[in-house]
Amino acid sequence: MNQTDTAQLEKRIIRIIIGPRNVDPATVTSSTTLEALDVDSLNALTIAFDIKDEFRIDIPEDELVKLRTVGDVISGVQRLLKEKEGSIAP
Amino acid sequence: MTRVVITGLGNICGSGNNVPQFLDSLLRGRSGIAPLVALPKDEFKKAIGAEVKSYDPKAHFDESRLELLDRNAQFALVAAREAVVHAFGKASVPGPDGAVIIGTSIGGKLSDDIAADRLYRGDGRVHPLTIVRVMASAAASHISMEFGITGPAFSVTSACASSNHAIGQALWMIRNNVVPWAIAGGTDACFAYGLFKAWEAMRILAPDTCRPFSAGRRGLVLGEGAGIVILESLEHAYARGATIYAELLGFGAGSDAGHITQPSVKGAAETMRAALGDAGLYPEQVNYVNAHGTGTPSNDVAETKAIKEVFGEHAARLAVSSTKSIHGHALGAAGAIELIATVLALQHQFLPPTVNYLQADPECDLDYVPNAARHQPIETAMSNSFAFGGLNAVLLLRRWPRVGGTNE
Repeated sequence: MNQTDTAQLEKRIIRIIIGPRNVDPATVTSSTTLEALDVDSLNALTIAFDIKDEFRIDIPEDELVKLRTVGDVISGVQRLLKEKEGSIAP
Repeated sequence: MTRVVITGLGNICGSGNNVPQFLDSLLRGRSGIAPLVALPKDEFKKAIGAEVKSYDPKAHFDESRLELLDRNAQFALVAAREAVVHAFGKASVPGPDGAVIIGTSIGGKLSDDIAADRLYRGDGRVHPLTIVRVMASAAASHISMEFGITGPAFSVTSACASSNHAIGQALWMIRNNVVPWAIAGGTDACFAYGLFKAWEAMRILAPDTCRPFSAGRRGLVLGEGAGIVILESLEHAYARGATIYAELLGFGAGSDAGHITQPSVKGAAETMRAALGDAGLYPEQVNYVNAHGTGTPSNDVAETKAIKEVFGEHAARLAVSSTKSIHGHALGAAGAIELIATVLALQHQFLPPTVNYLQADPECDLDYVPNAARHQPIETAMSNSFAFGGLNAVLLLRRWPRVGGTNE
């Protein structure tokens, strides 16, 4: 994945994390915590659901509860996409 | 015995998005029944209903809140906010010690329908917020959360009598000093594809319009919305100098123990008598009955017979109307919307009409206030709900302040 692809991927994930919340995507970075975005356990499920819609990957239950920052979500998605055989992004 | 009064009203329905608009529709006899816009036009070419109009959810809720709210919970919150401001003069309640009792027939059916569509016809996935949108008690939860109410909060379900049972339950709780005040009422949003098809399959929906008690009536017309009232003990209302709109005098509840859809004259009559007994009133003291009056051939005949049985000769002097001809049959919200119509009738001293009335049916021979509201003094009124499955609930109200006497 080149730099442009990575930036695009990050943007898509940030958009999913923000979801219906009234937050400017430009203010969200890798170090932004999910807590700061008011993401509770129920919202995390919605984010995982939307990630599956967008990328066709499942975030396992034990990984979902460990996610603390936007960067955690991005790196998790990148890793799961790599694990998904023969594809970079859908 | 602790007396219970109504100090706030909130309403959203097919004939008004708030109480002043609803009052205007009642006074003008303007029906909210129209061709449906919620369902696909190609399949439902001639479908009609009383949909809530000019309603933008985003004008009432931010998007992160909206994703948790089925349309029925949205309506309940919109009506509850209006009722709270009406009663307390601001968007907050006097404390956490109230109750929230909300009737609903179908809960978050629209969200259920959307989830089922994707599950069975789409990619087989189900959204993780489906349960919290669909659960029938969601509206009660959201009202308790919005206003920080920590007293008893739950939903009551008894099909088309859900609201009346909810309001009656709240009355019992205040009388028994469980809580000093309550937010009570009902909500339903029934224009979901699958549900509408199910109503069509029952062949009970009128193809033209809702004309209760009239010759040529052909069935009911569905509506949607919410009605919410603030109930308080008289003592609590006095202590805070509240404006009182009516006294909730009595509640009667009973069951036909008969057929799952066919109405029972005996069951309806006994429930009206139970409400009169609870209120300590003679039948002759009642001036107006807001009827269940669905517009089906069988309900309206059975209800007319039951009224005659209960009121005897006084039935001929009684005004009986069905405001379902104006706001449609809002199922679990129907009783609350009709109670609000009845409170407004007492407050403004008029009889809301039965609109779309063509001519007398020999089997329905009471004064149904046909087609135009009538201004006349009324002191005491009854509001009937008789649900599928024979679940009956009747409320009795008295004007406040009483005419020519004290309220004590």
